[in-house]
Amino acid sequence: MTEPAPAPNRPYVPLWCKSNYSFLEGASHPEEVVDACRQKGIPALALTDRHGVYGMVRAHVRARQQGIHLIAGAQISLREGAEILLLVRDEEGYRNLCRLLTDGHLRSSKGKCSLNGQAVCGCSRGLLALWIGPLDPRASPEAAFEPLLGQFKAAFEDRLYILLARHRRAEEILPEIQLRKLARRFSLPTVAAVEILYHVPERRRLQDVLTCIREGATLTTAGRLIRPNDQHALKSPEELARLFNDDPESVRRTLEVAARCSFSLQELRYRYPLESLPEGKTSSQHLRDRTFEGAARRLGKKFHGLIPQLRKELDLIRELEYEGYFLTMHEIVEYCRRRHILCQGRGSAANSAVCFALGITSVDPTQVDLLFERFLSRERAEPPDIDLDIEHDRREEVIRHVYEKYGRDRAAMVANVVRYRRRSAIREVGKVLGVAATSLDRLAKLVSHDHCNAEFIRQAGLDPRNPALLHLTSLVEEIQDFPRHLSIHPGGFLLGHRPVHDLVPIENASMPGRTVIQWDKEDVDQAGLFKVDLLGLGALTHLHLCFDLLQRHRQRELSLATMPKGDPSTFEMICRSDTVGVFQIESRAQMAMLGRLKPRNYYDLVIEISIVRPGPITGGMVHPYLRRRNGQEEVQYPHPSLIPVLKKTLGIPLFQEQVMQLAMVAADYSPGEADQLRRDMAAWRRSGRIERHRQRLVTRMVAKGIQPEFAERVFQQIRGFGEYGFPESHAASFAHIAYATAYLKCHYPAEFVCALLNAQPMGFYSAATIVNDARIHGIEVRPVSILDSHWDCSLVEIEGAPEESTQFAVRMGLRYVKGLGREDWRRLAEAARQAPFRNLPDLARRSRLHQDKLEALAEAGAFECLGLDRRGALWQIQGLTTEPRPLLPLAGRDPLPRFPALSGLETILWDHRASSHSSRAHLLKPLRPALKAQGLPTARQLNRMPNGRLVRYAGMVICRQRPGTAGGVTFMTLEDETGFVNLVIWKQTFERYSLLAKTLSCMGVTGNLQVAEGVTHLVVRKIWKPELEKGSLHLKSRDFH
Amino acid sequence: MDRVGAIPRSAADRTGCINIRALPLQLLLRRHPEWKQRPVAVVEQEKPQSPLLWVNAPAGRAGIRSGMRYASALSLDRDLCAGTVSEREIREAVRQVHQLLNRFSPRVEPCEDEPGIFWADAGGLDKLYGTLEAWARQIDLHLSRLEFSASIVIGFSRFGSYALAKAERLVTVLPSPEAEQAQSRRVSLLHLQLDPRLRDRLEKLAIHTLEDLLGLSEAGIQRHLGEQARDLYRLASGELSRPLQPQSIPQPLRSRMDLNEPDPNAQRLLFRIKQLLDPLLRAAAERYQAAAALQLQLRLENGTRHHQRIQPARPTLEVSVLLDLVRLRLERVSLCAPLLELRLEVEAVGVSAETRNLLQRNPRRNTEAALQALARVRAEFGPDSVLSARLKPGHLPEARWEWRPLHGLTPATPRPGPIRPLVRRAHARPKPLDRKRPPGLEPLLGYLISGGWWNREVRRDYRFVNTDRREVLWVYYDPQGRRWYSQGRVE
Repeated sequence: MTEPAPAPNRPYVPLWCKSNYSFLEGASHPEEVVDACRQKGIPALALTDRHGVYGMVRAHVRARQQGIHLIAGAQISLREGAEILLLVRDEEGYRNLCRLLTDGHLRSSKGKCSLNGQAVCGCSRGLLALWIGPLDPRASPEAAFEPLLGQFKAAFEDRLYILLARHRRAEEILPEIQLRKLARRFSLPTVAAVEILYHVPERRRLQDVLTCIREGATLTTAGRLIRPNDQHALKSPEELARLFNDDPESVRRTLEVAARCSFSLQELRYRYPLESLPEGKTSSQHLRDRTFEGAARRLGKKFHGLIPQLRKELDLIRELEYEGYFLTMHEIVEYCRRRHILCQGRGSAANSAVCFALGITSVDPTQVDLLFERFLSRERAEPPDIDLDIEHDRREEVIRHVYEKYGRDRAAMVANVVRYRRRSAIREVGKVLGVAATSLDRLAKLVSHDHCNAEFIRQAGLDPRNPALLHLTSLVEEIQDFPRHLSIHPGGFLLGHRPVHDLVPIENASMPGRTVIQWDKEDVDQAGLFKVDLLGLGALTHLHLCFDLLQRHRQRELSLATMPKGDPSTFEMICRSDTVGVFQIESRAQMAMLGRLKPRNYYDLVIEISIVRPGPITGGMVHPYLRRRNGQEEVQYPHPSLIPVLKKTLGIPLFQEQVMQLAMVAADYSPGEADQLRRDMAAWRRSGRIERHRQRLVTRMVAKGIQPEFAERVFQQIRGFGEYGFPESHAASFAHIAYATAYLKCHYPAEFVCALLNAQPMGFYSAATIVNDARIHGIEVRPVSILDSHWDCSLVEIEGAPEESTQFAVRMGLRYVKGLGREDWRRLAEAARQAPFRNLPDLARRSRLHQDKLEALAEAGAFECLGLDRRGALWQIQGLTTEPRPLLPLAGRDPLPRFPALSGLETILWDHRASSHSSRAHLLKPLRPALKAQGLPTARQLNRMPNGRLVRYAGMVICRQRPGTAGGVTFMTLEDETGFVNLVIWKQTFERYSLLAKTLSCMGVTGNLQVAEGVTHLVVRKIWKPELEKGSLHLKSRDFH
Repeated sequence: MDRVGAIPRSAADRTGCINIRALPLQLLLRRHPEWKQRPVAVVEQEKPQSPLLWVNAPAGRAGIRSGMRYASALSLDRDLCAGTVSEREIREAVRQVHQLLNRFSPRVEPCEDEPGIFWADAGGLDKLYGTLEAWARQIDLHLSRLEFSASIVIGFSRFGSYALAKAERLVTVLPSPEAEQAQSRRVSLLHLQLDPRLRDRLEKLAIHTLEDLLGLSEAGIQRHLGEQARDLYRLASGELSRPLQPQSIPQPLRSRMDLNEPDPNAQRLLFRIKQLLDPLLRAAAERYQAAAALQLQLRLENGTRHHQRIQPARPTLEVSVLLDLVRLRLERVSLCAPLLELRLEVEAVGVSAETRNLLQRNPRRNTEAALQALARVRAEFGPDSVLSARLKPGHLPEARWEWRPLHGLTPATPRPGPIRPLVRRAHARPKPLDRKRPPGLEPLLGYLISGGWWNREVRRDYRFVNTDRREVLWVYYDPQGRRWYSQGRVE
């Protein structure tokens, strides 16, 4: 806390201040307003955001640092047409304010709050009310509000004031006279105020812009929607005294009001909800019992080795009174288990043996050396953060369970504050400035994360001297990080032992039935509240589906827990980079790394997952690690004391935890300081925070005998990590799922593919690539068929298949037919259950499917099983609707014309158009003779060629990427019927061929092969359009994600 | 579909089809000639998500296709220029081309479904131009002078020539009906304007050309592909034909009187105007139109010209009403020389027969009388003499209202406000005060207006001040110009 500012001669307290958390109204961050108070020597501040306490936590944290007394409050627009301020006196008042706001929000649609005077008067205890008056004094004279004011007087008694606000507006002169009359009539004291919308007058421009965004107007058409002057900045005490020189008593009374409001957010007493406990047991005992039972069950004999760690953790949990939180997580996990929903904890929780024992995480603490302090520390005294991954298509069930168990008043989802970023700012601010929408679109597409300045405007082909664009550049920078509106956090829940709306107001989210609190994740952390994160993960759905298929078709019971460990053939497959569909290690970059890192065990997978991240890449850690791993470089440590920290990664820090440990061991950071270092690394947007640690780290390391240049290098590595450093605990959780999916791909490829197709959308690759990969692995994939396909893809036993080969083929499901919905499938299935379909008219009549749906099925070839080719089926379908349906099914009366049969290529193209994949063949298969005639190799042939060879190659583009860490290099993956080819395109080459590079689906490239450590890349020199059979080879690729 | 045609009964019948390809795109390029070498697209609206309706060849080479969103197209080529073309522009262009074609053929029919397609009767014109090709080239030449590029096909039927004009890019003269039939059947269906859904269906069934379509049975087509495909079949097979339906361009209601002897008598002018007006109003009535305004042009012996526009309160066919207004206007005009030529044009607007009858009755209501009175004021003092003040949502006093022409009258419904406002008289423009400080005593009340930072920043510190003469002045200080201004006074 800083020293208090010197007291001014004529102090006052701003009682009406709206930060930018009064969305699209206030034009300063809460922290800026607090800082400005400190600078002007103002001792206290009331934050009264409109209908909420959205910015209260941030203001509270900053006010504590600055020694400012923060008064909690809110501005309320009453349904009767008047405005009031409510200020919190004590805890009861805060509770009443939150309840009131919750009530107003929940009875309204998202973002709105509807309250009347009666509701406010009903929650008056612990609150002060400051009467502002009618919204439009000309439309509603003050006299009309006399009954309402009387009601307020009765409810608030001596806690009601008349607020006199002056902004040197022509329109406020007469209303003030009216307000003074009312004050006299009701014997109410008056207080002086300015409606503060920004901390400095320079923000007035931004406030005008925000108003226009809110009202959907432009500056030139906004008229009186925007304020007439810049008198809404925070006034110094002298300025306010001058403004109210005729009424010093009202100014003085602001101090009296502030003195009556003694509440601070620190007073919030939050306890985590207690689970129902067995009779006679405390929560601590119950948690201990559950933990030891679980540890014994999961670890068997190894359990005893873990007892000291479990005791240590349980003692700390008891000391911090966090038992309820762990029991809740355990209850949710148990619920998932009962419902056969796969779930797994991730994040720092994987550092905890208790979490493992309770079944929350799957990382065996006896296998991996984890840092418990990263998860929970006495010094930090912050609630632990457990993220629980749940099968993505069943997460909703778990969320419903939480709502049902805790009730809507004790469980609410955490908000996600949507903030302005450059792109959104350009679009919205530019529109307000009247810049043409098409120009804005161009600017928004070109803008980088770093800047929006005159040079950028010039690069975009626009005139930087244009005044509107000049304003745009500065305003876009100013509006950065401004909150725009609330949305919902993907899975964060706030649970409370008492109603959540006593802690923070709850409002409706846009999703029906979903409610959200007014604070985001950071606010919840800062306020010391417990959050439960329930996140959806597609890979768990994939695993579950695969386990089900194994059980159904092979009677093999398999689960994450019973998965055979350390399977050599699985790791062989991983080393071959044969990982399409394998969780976390399937991307182009991961595949390239697999060939170099060659993981041989579980911990190698943990490293593999962590190393292909921007942190280690930009920190320059990848190559040294690989050289050391391959024995090309000696393993060195900066200091002997760091050997325990860095040994497992050969002297190179790869994980976030290592950075923390490094700071603790080498620079004597306390666990709390180390955690702060982690947070500062994460706060990359507020650049500079990491620099605070430089001197401390380097000095202390040098003092411990580490060479200064080495200390500096370590710091540079830490800085390079930025937010991208991956926690080991996180990687350890993911590696578990990665191994499981790899094992299934290796041993049960048909089940793996079938489950993966049914779990879509997820992962890195499209269905077309997954199907092609399956084909390459010898799995038969059968096309959709109206008689044989289900909604999902299914396994079909191959008759007469030898035992040692794949025994199942995959039958594509009707879910892959574009335009067909699950309800259509239900109709079809219902009709088919009654009697088999005899022909197409029979099917159409009994299923009552719309013509569009029938055509979609026809185009996908689903009627071929009825002896109808696609064109014939289309012709029949188009004839079905032009005549009334016969009472009895009749065969078509006109003969079926003979349409040309589809060629092989056409068939595949139709497949792609109708179902985004082809089970027949890869698109390039029928074109291979033509490609071969041009001397073009297949991917398989190319990947066997030697380093340096100049080659020409053509393939389908499946992925275009330009990572921010690659210095403008673009990576692409091309695919053909035999596999992938990875391209590296330097910036100049990409720019030279940018049109072809961005638009071609089937791309031809010329370049040199770069083969290193068994990994092949084609470094592109030229891009060209292959000469192919006429017809569009246009497929959707995964571009620049 | 009205692109009806078949093999004509007589081989002497020749029909030319003129296709101004992608007319909206050509209009956009005519408006922006500097874009000719650049990728250009016509968009539905000036919005990023607006679809592209037409694209030129450079845009096509960049991979930009019609139907794409502007935003997507822009990501393919940052130089893409785009603009909208209004219905009105298209209508005007069609009228212009129609007028031009009428110079080459008395019988021209513009296609209503597809602006840019025209049929012209070319029968016998080879005699006049030497050959039909020469005739077509003349049209092509004149169209290029209007900066239009077109394909022209001279065939024997409306549909045959149309289909080929859509597919061809040059001037083509077909030698025989059989040649037209043979060539038109090879035309790809993609060239014809078909419902996109039908075109897609035909494409899927491998029906690519008219010949492919004719390979199916008419009944089958009707049952499986619908009415539009059936009509196309019948057009292509020659079963359905419709003769050319030439349209004439409506002539303006205009009349002129040349005086053999310059007439110095202004009194007689009114009678001369009546002579011209009577037949024009009759012609308007026959078109179910009424006079919304009169354009009067006088040429005097000394070469000077007078132009007057006289607008009645409502569109009318009453000669007396119009002449009364003309008289009032002419009374304000002094002719400095004898009259040499008189031109009169009636601006007519369409009215229903019922309305037309009403127009000819005498108005009874007072509002009507008031409107007539205002029309007379307008006639006497000019069109800007009748204005009304409208409130505007601005902050500056001069931005709080504006004067707009008064076109109609609605009964006033005044509502008393809670506070009777003081009346302030504002100067048309703020007047700078000579002295540095405003005259008078201490300021009574003040307020501040600042804004306009996005354009021209304004800051005015307003005060109401008492003067020595007990007037309350409304003044402000401009800190940028460092001087005081008088905005007005308070009554």
